[in-house]
Amino acid sequence: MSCEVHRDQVLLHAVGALDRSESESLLAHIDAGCPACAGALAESLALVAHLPLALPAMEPSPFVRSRLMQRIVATRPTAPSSTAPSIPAVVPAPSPSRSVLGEPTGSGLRRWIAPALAAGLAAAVVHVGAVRPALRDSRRLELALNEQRGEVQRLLESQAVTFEAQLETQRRQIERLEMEAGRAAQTASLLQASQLLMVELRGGATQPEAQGRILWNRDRGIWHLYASGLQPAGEGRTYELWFITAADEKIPAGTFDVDAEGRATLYVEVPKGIGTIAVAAVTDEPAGGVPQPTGSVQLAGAVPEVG
Amino acid sequence: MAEGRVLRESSDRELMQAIAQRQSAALGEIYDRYAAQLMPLALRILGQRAEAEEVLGDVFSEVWTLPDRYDPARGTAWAYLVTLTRSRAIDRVRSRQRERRMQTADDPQHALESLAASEAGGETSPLESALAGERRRQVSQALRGLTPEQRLAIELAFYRGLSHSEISSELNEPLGTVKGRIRLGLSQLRLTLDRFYARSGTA
Repeated sequence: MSCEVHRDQVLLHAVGALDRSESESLLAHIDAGCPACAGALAESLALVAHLPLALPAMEPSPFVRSRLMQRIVATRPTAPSSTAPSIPAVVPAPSPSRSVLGEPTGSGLRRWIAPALAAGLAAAVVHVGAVRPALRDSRRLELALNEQRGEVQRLLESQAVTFEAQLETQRRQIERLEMEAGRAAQTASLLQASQLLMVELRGGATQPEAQGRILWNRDRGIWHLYASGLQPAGEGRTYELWFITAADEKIPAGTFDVDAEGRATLYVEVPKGIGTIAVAAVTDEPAGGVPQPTGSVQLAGAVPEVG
Repeated sequence: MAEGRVLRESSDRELMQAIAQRQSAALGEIYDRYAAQLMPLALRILGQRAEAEEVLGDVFSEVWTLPDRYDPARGTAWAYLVTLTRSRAIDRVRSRQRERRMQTADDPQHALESLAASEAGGETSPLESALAGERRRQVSQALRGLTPEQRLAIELAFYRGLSHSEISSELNEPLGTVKGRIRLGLSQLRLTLDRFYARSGTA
């Protein structure tokens, strides 16, 4: 498809009116490297982003923010050193009163729209300039040019940052895949083991739809827990697995959290010399786990007797 | 607080970079800047406050966990947040529809009525600053400059996530007419807004 056809589609894509296949074809064209269409898309998205500005502002409940901040601090993968923030203060705010759109007042309105409407603005400046003294006109153009030059420089810098970030993401992805491959190999060897025992777990009173299964490799003394249908443990909470012996001794086996689909896996070694394990149970506990169960039972099952 | 001051004076782009560098306070600042304007967008699409708030939380978590999804070469942070909020909210409406198909809110008449109702609604948050209030008046005024047919086509696409072919069959109008209305309407909107900004730029 020609570039012109794509350019024609940009506005429709920005407002979400293209069919999926048309949108994909447009984005592929841009990804293949078409700065003109990419520019048109950025401009159109900025235009369309005006639509919600016609709606009256509305503060979300305060807990939305507090929950968000808790969530991200908890999942923070690589915390930066706690030195002073590295953000330069480039915009001198005359009065830092925050608007709903939060930009410092004054320059905010213009700077906010600048990248997208720069072309339109420049055109407007030329147009207005035609009826103004020539001197002011050229100074204005110079200002607009300078602004655009700065914009291009910032763009280049930010692209360098983006590339670095992408590299980092890919490195992390490789690490994750390697780890998953390792786990899969463990599971495969577990399934081949001769002395394999299965413990079925059922959901407790608080979440009866939860279920689980433990594969016990008796040769190697390893439990592999698979659980599904579990609710997220919640803020500051975790799930903890217990070996419960025939003498009713409760030995912590390890803690785990569930993924977005409510599934979890856990791989633990069974300590030697703890006697016969009669029951496997999962309770809900404070994050980090506890030495003796305090929460309610979420999953439990009897361990079959070994002959 | 020195840090808060510095963040408040940072541009959106600097904040997004700081987020990519794992500075959680920058996420808080971006949230404070835009949450109150993204909230009505999510609410308009979903119709339920609790769901809108969940989407808002998800959007900002995604900004944190996948910072490289934001590409400054592709537009402003605000445009990115609008795109993200809109698509997450529409995804949720669609999965809700899949879950209990044939129920509620999916007929065009209902959509038109809710559209009219939300346009009539003029209640303003007391926290809304003068600047944001002015911007809202400008954008609303610019939208009123479109024909009702143009506005309807644009809003069906933007707030209900309908494609041009879906809009065409829903309104029982030819495809070309629908596309033309959306293009003309948005171009008209751009012209009006350019005029506003040119004026405030020279003030």
